[in-house]
Amino acid sequence: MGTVSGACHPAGVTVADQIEDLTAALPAPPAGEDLQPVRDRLAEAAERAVALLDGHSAERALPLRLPKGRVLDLLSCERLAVARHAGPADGGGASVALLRGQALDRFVQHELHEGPVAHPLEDLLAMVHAEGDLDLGDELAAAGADLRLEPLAAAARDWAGTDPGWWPRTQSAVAVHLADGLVRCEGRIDVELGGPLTGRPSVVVEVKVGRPHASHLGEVTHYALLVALRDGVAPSLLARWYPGTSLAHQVVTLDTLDSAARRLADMIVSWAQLQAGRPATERSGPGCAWCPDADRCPSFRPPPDPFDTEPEEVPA
Amino acid sequence: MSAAASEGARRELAGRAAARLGEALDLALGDTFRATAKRPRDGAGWFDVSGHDLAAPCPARWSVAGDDFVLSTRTVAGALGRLALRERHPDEPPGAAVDRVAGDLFAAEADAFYIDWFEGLDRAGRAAVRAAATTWAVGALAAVGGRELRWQTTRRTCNVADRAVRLRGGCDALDRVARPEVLVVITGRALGDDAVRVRAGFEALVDGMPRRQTVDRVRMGSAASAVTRAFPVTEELLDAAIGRVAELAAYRAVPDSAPAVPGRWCGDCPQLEVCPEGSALMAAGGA
Ligand code: SF4
Ligand code: SF4
Repeated sequence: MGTVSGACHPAGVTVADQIEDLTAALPAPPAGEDLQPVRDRLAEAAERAVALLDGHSAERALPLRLPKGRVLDLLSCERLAVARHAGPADGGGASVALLRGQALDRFVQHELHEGPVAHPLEDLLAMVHAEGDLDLGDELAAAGADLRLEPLAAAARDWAGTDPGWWPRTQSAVAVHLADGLVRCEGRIDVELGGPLTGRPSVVVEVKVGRPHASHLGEVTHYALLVALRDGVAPSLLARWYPGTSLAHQVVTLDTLDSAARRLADMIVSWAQLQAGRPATERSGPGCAWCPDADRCPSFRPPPDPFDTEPEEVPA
Repeated sequence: MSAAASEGARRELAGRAAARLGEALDLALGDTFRATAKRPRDGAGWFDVSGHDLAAPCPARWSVAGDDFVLSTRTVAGALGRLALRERHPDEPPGAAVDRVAGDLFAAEADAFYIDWFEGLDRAGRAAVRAAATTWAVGALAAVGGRELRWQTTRRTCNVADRAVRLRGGCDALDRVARPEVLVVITGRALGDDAVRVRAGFEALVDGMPRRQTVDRVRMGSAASAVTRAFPVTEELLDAAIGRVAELAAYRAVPDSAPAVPGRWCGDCPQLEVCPEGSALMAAGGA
């Protein structure tokens, strides 16, 4: 699959340099009619899902929404997905890891649009306040030094020098609506570069704190599918950026898209079945760590240490 | 249909829509909200209906006058993004155009509603706004397939005859070639939603009443799915908007008639403290 993961990059090699190199001689990505089988597969799943719900008491679940987070939850554990849909994860706010992820997203944004972050916490709070998210601002301020922001801000310097000709944009929305809009698969991409209007290949980058994990790979291939269906042409390059390492990247093939489409089709039908009353299955795993039902689920297992796994394969 | 006949038909459509809106508001408002003088600068005694209000999820919240508009990246991204697209040089990356206009907002748009807020932000806050505006601008261009449009930076308004009611449009662009036949509006909603159809009718109404002639089509665009959907302007489309405006007006005229519909929007509702439904929802852990 051409994945390079976790390698420290040589000093001075920016993300921009890597993207220029990686996209210099890529094969043409799947496009147009190539994508029809993928579209058909999802359309069929969406029709099945709507048929399960339409005209029954479960009809209130329409339109059926599958944001990226729900797809990942379903892949992890159905009961987790149902529990998170029913209410907030807990009353205690976001974890430090989650807050660090939010910080890193913004430091990359800052680097792309304004240059280096000068005062990590101050600048982060200024960005979050401009976004009007006062609750997140309070959580970040309360976490303070626990966030260890300096290394994240320094790592974001890797994004310096990105050519504006790539039309870099952050937190861009992507959506695929199926069955006349009754099934909606949606997400937000950390960084998009290039694409049909730019004259350059399309590149999707997910910004990640910490070490590589199987779910990250599932996430980017899910985005590749949504972008392919949105633009009518798949991204040429999928990448994950972990601070201080080279881009973990892969070229998008029809197989990548087909496997992501099979997974998403299964999740669409599963979510419809769950909304129609099928009991959720339980599958212990990393999700137990943030599951709202952890204190009452018989299948709960203390989550494995994510540092023990170094996955390279998309889960089937 | 010849061009002249077409224009005549569109004039008739606008005239009939204005008359039907007047009738619908007579029913909804009765003797309340009659315009007895020119609208004061601060809008006191009047109420506005914007495209955003049409999708107000809780009638009880809408029924109480109050300005809960907050300046943030979310509410400013589109305005700055449209300004950048309007000023963009051929082949200039949208992000570079955003940076250029944001670098000297007074020169680009001295009366932008967000100018004082933006200029008061520090470097990082402005970076967040420019990032959001760039994403908006690229998404908008993708939705319309890169087509050259006249991006609009000022919003149309239309005072309803004899009523203390102002309609505030949110058209993002006009078709450069067919002007004024097509209005383009970028929406975050799925294009199949009925709310999108109502919004299209509303934009046609706000544009068409002052000009006494409707456009041919309103094209709604979705950045997230990079598509547009055209809504031909018909009596039916305009009626959908008129019906919704009248419904909202009736809630304002008789606030007790407006049901409370709690949901995730309760969190920032100014009435939360005095609203039993919203308080109950929050006590139960939110939506
Ligand atoms: S505790 Fe673990 S197994 Fe149980 S529902 Fe939550 S994620 Fe699933
Ligand atoms: S608190 Fe909620 S239910 Fe009550 S008026 Fe506000 S939005 Fe409506």
